Amino acid sequence: MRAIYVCLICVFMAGILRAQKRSKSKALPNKLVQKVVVSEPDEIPIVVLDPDTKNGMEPSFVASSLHANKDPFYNTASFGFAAAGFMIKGLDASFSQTLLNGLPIKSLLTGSPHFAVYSGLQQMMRKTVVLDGISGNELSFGSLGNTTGADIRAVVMPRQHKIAVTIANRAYSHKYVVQMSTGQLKNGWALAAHLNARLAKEGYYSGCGYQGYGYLLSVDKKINDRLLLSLSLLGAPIAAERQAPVLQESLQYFGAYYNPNWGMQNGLKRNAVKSTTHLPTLIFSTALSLPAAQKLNIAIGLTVGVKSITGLDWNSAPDPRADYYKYLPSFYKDSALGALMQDNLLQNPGKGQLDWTGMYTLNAMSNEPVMLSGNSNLILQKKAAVIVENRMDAQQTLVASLVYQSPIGKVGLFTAGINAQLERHHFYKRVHDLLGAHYYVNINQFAEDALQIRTDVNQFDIENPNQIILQHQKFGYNYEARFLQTAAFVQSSWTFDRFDIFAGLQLTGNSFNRVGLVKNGLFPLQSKGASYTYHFTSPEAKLGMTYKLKGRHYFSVELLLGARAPLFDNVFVAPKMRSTVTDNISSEQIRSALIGYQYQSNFCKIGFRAFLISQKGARDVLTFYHDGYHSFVNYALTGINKIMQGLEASIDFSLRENLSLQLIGALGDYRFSSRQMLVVSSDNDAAVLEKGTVYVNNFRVARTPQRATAVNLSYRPGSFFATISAHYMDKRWMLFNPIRRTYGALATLDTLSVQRARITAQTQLPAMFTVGALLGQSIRWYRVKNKQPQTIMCILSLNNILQNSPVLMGGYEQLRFDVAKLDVNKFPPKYFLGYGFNFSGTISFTF
Amino acid sequence: MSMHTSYIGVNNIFIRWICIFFLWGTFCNCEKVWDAPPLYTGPALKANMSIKDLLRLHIPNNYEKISADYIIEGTVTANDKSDNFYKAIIIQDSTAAVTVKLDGYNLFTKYAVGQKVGIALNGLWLSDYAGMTQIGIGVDRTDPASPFLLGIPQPLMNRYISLLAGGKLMTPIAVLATGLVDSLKGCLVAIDQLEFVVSDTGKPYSDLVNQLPTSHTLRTCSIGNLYLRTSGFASFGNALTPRGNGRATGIYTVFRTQKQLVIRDTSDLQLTGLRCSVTGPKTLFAEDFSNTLTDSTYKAAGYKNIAEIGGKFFTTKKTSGNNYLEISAFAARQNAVISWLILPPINLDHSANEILHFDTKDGFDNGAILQVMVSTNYDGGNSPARARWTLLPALMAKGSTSGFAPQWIFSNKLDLSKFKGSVYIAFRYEGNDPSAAMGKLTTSFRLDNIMVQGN
Repeated sequence: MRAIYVCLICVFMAGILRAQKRSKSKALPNKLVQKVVVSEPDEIPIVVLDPDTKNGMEPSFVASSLHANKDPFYNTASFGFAAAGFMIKGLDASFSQTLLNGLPIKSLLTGSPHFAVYSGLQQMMRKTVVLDGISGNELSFGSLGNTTGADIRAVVMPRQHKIAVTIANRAYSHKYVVQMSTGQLKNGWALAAHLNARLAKEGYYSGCGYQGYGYLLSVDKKINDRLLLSLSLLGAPIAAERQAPVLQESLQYFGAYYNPNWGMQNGLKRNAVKSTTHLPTLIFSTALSLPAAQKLNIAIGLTVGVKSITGLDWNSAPDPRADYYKYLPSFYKDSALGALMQDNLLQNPGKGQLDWTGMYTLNAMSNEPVMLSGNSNLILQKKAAVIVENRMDAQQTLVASLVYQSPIGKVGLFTAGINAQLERHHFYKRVHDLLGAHYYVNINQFAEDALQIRTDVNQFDIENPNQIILQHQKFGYNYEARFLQTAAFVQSSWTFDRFDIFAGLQLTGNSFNRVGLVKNGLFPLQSKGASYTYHFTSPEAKLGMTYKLKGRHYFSVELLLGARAPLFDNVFVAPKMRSTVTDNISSEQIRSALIGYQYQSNFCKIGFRAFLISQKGARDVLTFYHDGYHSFVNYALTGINKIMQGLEASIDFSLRENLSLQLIGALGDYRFSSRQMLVVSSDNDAAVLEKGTVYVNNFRVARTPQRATAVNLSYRPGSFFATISAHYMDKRWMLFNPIRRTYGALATLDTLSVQRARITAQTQLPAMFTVGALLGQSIRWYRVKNKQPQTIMCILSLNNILQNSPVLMGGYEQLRFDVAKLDVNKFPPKYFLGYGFNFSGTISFTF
Repeated sequence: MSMHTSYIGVNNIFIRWICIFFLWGTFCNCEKVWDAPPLYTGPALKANMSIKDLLRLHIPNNYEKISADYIIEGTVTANDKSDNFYKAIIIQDSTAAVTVKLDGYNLFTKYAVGQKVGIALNGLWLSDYAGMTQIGIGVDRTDPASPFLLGIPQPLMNRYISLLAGGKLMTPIAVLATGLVDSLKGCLVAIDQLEFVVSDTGKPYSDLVNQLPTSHTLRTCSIGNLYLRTSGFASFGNALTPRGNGRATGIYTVFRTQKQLVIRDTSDLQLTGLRCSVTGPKTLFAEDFSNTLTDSTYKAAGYKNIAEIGGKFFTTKKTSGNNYLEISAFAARQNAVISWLILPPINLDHSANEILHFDTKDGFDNGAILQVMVSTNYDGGNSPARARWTLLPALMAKGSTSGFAPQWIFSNKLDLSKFKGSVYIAFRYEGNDPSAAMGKLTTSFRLDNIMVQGN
């Protein structure tokens, strides 16, 4: 591996030397890339529910592009289709990347752009390039998805001030923005600042308040014509209460806006699940212009912050969740009792919500006095039966990147870069609210059932047995995940009269390990201390060519061959409890081929792409709570192969000078192309509970619609603009439960039985049809005094106009399966609710 | 530069705004502190009938739906805290007791023993299981041959059951074992002078491995007709039944014709007194070496006298008319001397509260040791070191560096009650007598008056 690095560095140096020999510098033609500086209003919604929840148990759609691209296909895919969780080419966010001032903003834990770092700051990323795929790219090696490069340096922002107010019915109801930028001052300084607040007492979802802020401060100093130093501080403290996935049955009883996460407390809706995120990031970057049109960009970034999410935890108490399956009428097979339960729910809709009073009452009834060691006067009387816990992820990231560019003669551009990222996550739990009780005890209630001779198995920390936990103190699991990624790439692109060509090589090294900070009673030997460090080396190679015919027709081919390291959470089976890993750890193999055709004339633009992507040897660990085992159960899947093939088409007609019509289509076929291996284990048990093959060859990849079409009609007479769009998204599949497709689960059933088919068949979700409109009017005038332009802009965006109430955006089969009775309805699917009709109206004043 | 200054000047307010905003957004993480809500109190139910009257409404082997506004009050006497009662609580008033089936887990926090509850019975059902009357919410007749009463589901509990103030622990009704009559069914009773029959002592309460319930027979000194029934899920199922005699508290239940007692946890059985089979302590083993030939290697039926290393045996001695055994490494000329005296096996199955005691005397103490140990897996052969031995915390004579101590030292009463079956008791000597004068461990120990007693 080291040898390969040395080779890469040699190539890199050779490039520099060679480039220095050529002295002619001239701006390079750069038209083969779909690269557009965007000026669309940012109030177009970006569906970002939670980029970091794992396993698809909650929606995690990150609109991988920060901005609309002028390419109509990407524009529609990122915004219009996002309402159904559309993923371009079936690729999830981990195939995309985001760069701020040239610095990759990525979470090595999720493998995806670290959206929480820049959430809500899109308005300051006006100078953003969105690059599609792996083609020639000045910023980085590129990725199969999108590469978004945002420039947030003060020097690129014009001198202006802006205030804006938005009213919406989405996650937030009000948004306020204040920003200023000085532009390049004569003394070489440039300053830009942005602040926003996004607030909702109750947003679109029931009981979901939102408090989000964002700030950005950029200071640039131009030292001389060759050197620019930039410093940016950005962050987004956000506290958001959450909507839970729901059962179809619950919607029947409690209405389309049902959210089981909240309950009334003292006349207010209190949500038990609240995420709080603040990841302040400091980025230092320099742009250095060298002789012979060479450029060197160096960027260093530091992120230090915490992400956390609250939830209920209970011990010696019945499950406090209102939509627990045993509390629903469907659980009762006796029809009279079922009817009684149903009446009870219909008469008391509050029964579908959390009973905070009941939880406080339960805690108040407990009477187990304890004495705190070292303070004999303080006797704590009440042990909590139910608490609100806070699951913390305290993280630090240090990343450095160096990119060198040099022209190759008149026709080429050579780019090379190296970067390194060091990342650490500290995961632990804290008591958020004791709900009136005085203390909690640090024991694992689910380990109590095991028939073991040792008496300390139920200890989360055997070095501090039966620890008394007070408000805000740590309890439960406590471990770190540590990462190091280093990467180096070289690439060149050439633009000839008839041909454009690019080629590149990248080598990425990944390593990570788990460091346990407590020794628990179940796994005293595997829980504490540093685990083995896993290393992966992932080479990638890309090659592409465009043939240009008469300046109107462009035919292109792009090829990529590469490997990707697995993610931490897909290697460690149960990192909360121990360092055990899945079998046969290895990288996954990616192959991709794409052919494209583009046509441009005054009347119309046509874009057409066909792709074939194969992903081999991927792995996944799915985790869920199984109350039969009284434990979190982990499904470790290996040998996941996928094939994503499809067509993307867009036609953009200029009907009249001010009127354009776009037709967009994506036709995909994303399938699993292998039988996966499943190993089932539990957080509280070292033994493998089950092992087997998952028969899912040719199953569809879930979440994204595999067919999507859209029509956009835009009218732009002067300063007014209006766009009406209609989207149709179909061939959507539910995330499936692997256990239902194993031999073990089905052994007792006849191969031809209807029940068998019902258990194994993959469930399709209904098609979605949405209609949206975007209206805007700008008024601009010039101040008499200094001719400074001033603009008032009004934008109204209306989405999903035809739907009054929330829609089923996606769904998953619950991972628990009734193996005894093979009843698929005992643990029925859960659905994610998406926005029905939603709007936002913004007025901004720029001066 | 002047332009710059004016720029800042003009926009001063902007910058101030930004600073305030920044501080507010970053440091005021406006986390609401939630007030504790007023606690739950159900409807203030007031009994309009006694539990005894309620039981009269029920016809055995029948299911009755209650459609009048009857209300009963009672105090919780048992719940699922130790999982010996499952998905049920038992409530009792001054007249009788009844089982309430509740379809939920962890009921014990809310329906703690001693909690007073009121139950609005309208809409609930009465039935019985093996002779015990139960309250439930419906009847499952999925299998018409064996219908059963359904428990009240978690979401409906508050609708029928409210928590009342003024609860206190119910005093068990003291009865004689012969006085268990039907009107006491379900009640918390206390019976004195009970003990387990010998074959049911020192046994696990239930079979947790196979999750099977177990019955153990309880009897008074004269009769044996009451069973202690324990669920295969009871958290104390692995504990062992006591040997002694005393007071047993529990819920009196009937399974068809069998009278049973079900305890809430092991503290309900205070069986610490002497068993009634014999009066006073019973001697299981006694040895004072009185009729032995002096100054010879000790030999007697059932005993093992083994010189594991060093060739020294326990030897018979006599002083002032008292016979005893002595062991010493003296003159062995060995780097290690290990010797064992193992008593004949003693059966502890037919007794309770067994103790061992003996006397020792030391002389010329150089640091050698004498230990007393118990084994249940020793095979009676010549390699006792292969068996597993439990060391007993005996008080041994020591410290007499010149000559023998004048007094015998009593070993203290060493508890053997945790052992059962046939046990071996061993005295193990460990010392040495190398040729060098220094570092010799040649203490002599004398041993006498070994006794095991029980009741």
